[in-house]
Amino acid sequence: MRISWKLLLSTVVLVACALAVGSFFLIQSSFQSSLARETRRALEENLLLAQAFDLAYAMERGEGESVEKETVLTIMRQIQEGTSANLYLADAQGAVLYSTMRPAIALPAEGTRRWQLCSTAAGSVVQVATSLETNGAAFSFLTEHSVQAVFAARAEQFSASRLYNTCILTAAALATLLFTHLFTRPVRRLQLAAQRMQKGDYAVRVPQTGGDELSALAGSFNAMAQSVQGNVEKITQSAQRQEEFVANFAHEIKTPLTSIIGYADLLRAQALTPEKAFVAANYIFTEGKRLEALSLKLLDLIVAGRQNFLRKKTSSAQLAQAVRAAVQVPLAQRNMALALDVQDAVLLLEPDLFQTLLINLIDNARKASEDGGAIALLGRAEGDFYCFSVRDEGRGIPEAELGKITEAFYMVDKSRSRAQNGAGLGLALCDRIVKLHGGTMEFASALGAGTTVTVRVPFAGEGGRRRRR
Amino acid sequence: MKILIVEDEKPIADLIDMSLTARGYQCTCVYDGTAAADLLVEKRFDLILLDVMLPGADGFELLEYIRPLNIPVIFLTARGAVSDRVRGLREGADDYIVKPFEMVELAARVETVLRRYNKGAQRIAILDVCIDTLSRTVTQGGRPVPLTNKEYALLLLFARNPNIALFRETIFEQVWESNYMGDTRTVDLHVQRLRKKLGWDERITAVYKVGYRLEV
Repeated sequence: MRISWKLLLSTVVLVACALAVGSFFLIQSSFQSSLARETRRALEENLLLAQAFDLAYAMERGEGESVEKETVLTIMRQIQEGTSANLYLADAQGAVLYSTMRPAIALPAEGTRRWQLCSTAAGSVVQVATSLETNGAAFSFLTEHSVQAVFAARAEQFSASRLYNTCILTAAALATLLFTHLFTRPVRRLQLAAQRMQKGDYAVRVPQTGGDELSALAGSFNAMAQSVQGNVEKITQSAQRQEEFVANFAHEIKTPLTSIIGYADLLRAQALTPEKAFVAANYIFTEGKRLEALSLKLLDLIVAGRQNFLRKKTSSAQLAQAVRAAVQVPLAQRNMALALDVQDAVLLLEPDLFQTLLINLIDNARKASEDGGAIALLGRAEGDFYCFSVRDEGRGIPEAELGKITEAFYMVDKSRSRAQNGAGLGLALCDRIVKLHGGTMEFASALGAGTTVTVRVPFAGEGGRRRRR
Repeated sequence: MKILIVEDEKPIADLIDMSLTARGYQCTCVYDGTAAADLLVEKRFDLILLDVMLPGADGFELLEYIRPLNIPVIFLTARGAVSDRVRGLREGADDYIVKPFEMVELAARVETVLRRYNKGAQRIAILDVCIDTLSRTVTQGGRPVPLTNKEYALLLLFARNPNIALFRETIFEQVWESNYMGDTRTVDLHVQRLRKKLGWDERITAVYKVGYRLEV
């Protein structure tokens, strides 16, 4: 049931009761006072007529003589002529002497007067009965006064009040409908907005008017819509990233697979010249190597994604020595060496992962450099942080690409990267490791002049204890 | 028949080059989109094999450039999503092949697309047999040879891949157009009948345990 119908119904019931009770008491009290006035008038009338009869009877009787029945009748007729009331006269024995009414009231005891409201064929009447004592003769003198007008007036008032009440009730109902419609408008707006949200329109907002509870509710609704929209966008973005990762991953894996399968098929299906056979076999080998590198990097990435890993107190100088030992051979092949300038400090790190990070960065530096180029690993404390920097004098990274290089499978120069067995995962992995340690990674690069990567990790002190997701 | 291969992965470009050259096509390889566009200004090609993900201009951009030239295009891509295929075909590619693919399949698609443009060899002459792909008739020394549909498809496959060992599963997939379920007898039976009808007992040789080869 709609709220406006509920309000309407309750208003109608309330107003109807109030009107009915109010008008009933009003009409009833006016009726009571009218009736009392008429009753008083009937008593006065009775008194007056009784005195008139008494007077006339005393004159007729004179000194001790009895009065004829006919005389009494004449007196009564005369009295009757001067009044609208009906009369009744009986002697002490109860014999009726005169009557223009049917008495419903009992005959009075001697020396008393009584009255009674009766219902007759002609309507409601007040009958008054008086006991008379005139010169030794006793009579019962009854009068009948009509109060039909009072009852008629009450009936008329009731019917009029029914009409008025109906009008008032209708007006009240219409007013209630109008007001509830106005008051519930914000609720309907909220409902529509919620329905649109349910259908996926998360940008919907409701207008906030006035300062009542509904406006506060609209405010809360808007705040909720805002946060839902934000979350949905976040989820969509993350799903998109996931999808991109999968698409890139598929591409990265299918390309070497196509070559391997194709060349193997070529070797088995066709009689190739020895030169061509060598080319085919070599492609199978190099593309296989590429798949291997890709799978190893992916493995690293999965390992780096583990939820909990153990940090150990690690000496930064020892870490740097270990890194230098690991990169010595590939660097020496290109006639390069790693220059170390690392302040010793105790850090809280996962040493294997951190070593992977530094080796990857140095590997990138090596790939970016000419043969014999200089690469340096620097380490120094900076306040609450410890900074590792890998500096090369290679070809540098174009500025426009800097924001994208940590994305998985992103390669600035795809063909060169391919030639060096790159999968486009190195920096994505580095980024993951740095984030696991609660640190940051910055790139400063100038085309043709070289790149410096700075990794900033919190010191063992406070940052080290914190566990990052 | 000149084919342009636009593929940034050199191993794959070389692979396609080697396979199609063996089937009698002249191939040219370029490794990025802009080089392909430059080359198209200078030379005419009968067909372009186009990778979707390219440095320079990507495959879709290049397709816009190629369309007015009225050269058939087959897309090569690692993305097998339906939406990608639909986009490629809608924007004017003639066919679509998803990596990893087999060379026999690529050769068959190249042949089909060329035929659609009336560029493919309508008459293939091999040894003493002449195959008319328009009327689907085969004559040997001027005398018509009646062949069933499957026998005809089998002959066409051998004729298009001369001196190349065709594996039973490859034959099955190409001729019967369904996945190889390990039933070799069907293939063997049809090869036997083809040998008999053409008198090619010596020409179609069995490659030990795995398949057959038409020696020319």
